Amino acid sequence: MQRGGGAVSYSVVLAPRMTVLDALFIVQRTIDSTLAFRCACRVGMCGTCAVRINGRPGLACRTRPSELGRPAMDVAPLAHLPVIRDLVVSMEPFFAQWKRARPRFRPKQPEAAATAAIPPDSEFGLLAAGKRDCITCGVCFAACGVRTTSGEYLGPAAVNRALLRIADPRESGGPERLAVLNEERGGVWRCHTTFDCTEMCPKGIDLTDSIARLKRGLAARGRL
Amino acid sequence: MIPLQRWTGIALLIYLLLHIRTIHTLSEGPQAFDRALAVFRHPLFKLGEVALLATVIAHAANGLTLTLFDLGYGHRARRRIRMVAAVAGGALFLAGGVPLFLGGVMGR
Repeated sequence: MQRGGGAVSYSVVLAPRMTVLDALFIVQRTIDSTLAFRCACRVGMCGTCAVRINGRPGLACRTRPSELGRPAMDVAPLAHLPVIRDLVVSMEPFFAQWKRARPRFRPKQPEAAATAAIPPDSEFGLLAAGKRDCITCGVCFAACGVRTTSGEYLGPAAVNRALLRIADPRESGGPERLAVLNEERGGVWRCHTTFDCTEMCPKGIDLTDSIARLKRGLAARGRL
Repeated sequence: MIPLQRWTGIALLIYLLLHIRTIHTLSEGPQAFDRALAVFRHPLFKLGEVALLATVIAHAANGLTLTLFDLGYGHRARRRIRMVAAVAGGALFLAGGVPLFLGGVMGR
């Protein structure tokens, strides 16, 4: 395990269905009570426990050591985020990019009295069904190779959020989002289409598809 | 992530500049051009031709798959598509690289 800039080894006995998070709790309760890590729901809903396991980012509560294929595992804090302590990282860079993508709903009719219905079989309903489950865990951000070389890149989660907002027929904030997405250094054009974000996303969101959709949308608008 | 497209693109750009520089020697007369070409007959440059072929094929195969994905096709079958591109690229490389190596480097 990566702690305080160095590697520390712990030995724990695990039952077959235990998770990496269970292992962390065993270490904290029986070996080293100073070990710092973050968690909340323990069922893959909150995204708080994201760490790097054997070099791949993922949720500690949804990863079983028995499925990793080897008895030893390496647990480290998420990449591309500043470490606060042990496995705890600051999500500030992630949410700074998230805010740049203007994630908040900006209705066309802010004074509308009636609730706008989005039928599940509508164009937006079908698109949103596969993309609205983001839990802002930061796994895609840590998996993204572009973030390794560019601190300005929005990251897959923010782009996916922007796509959802742009595609929403009730939404009014399209033009300024498109301007951010079309940025030369921070926008969607930086994506290398390597699918790392899609492969690592614990919610199974095809984030690369979201980025590709926006690339096509921007190209169709003559924003190349 | 391996930024394959970026590195092969930079390598091809360097080759292109070298190519233009060599062709430019024509303006200095036939002797100058022959002198420039003589440098490229060295086995090391022949080996470079094999590497150039690999770079072109890698850039083209990766570029085609990326274009396909960016157009929204084949996301679910991405591993299979990449495998097909790698196998096809490998076959092309062998078909072109082996004669280049045997003829240029080994002198057969």
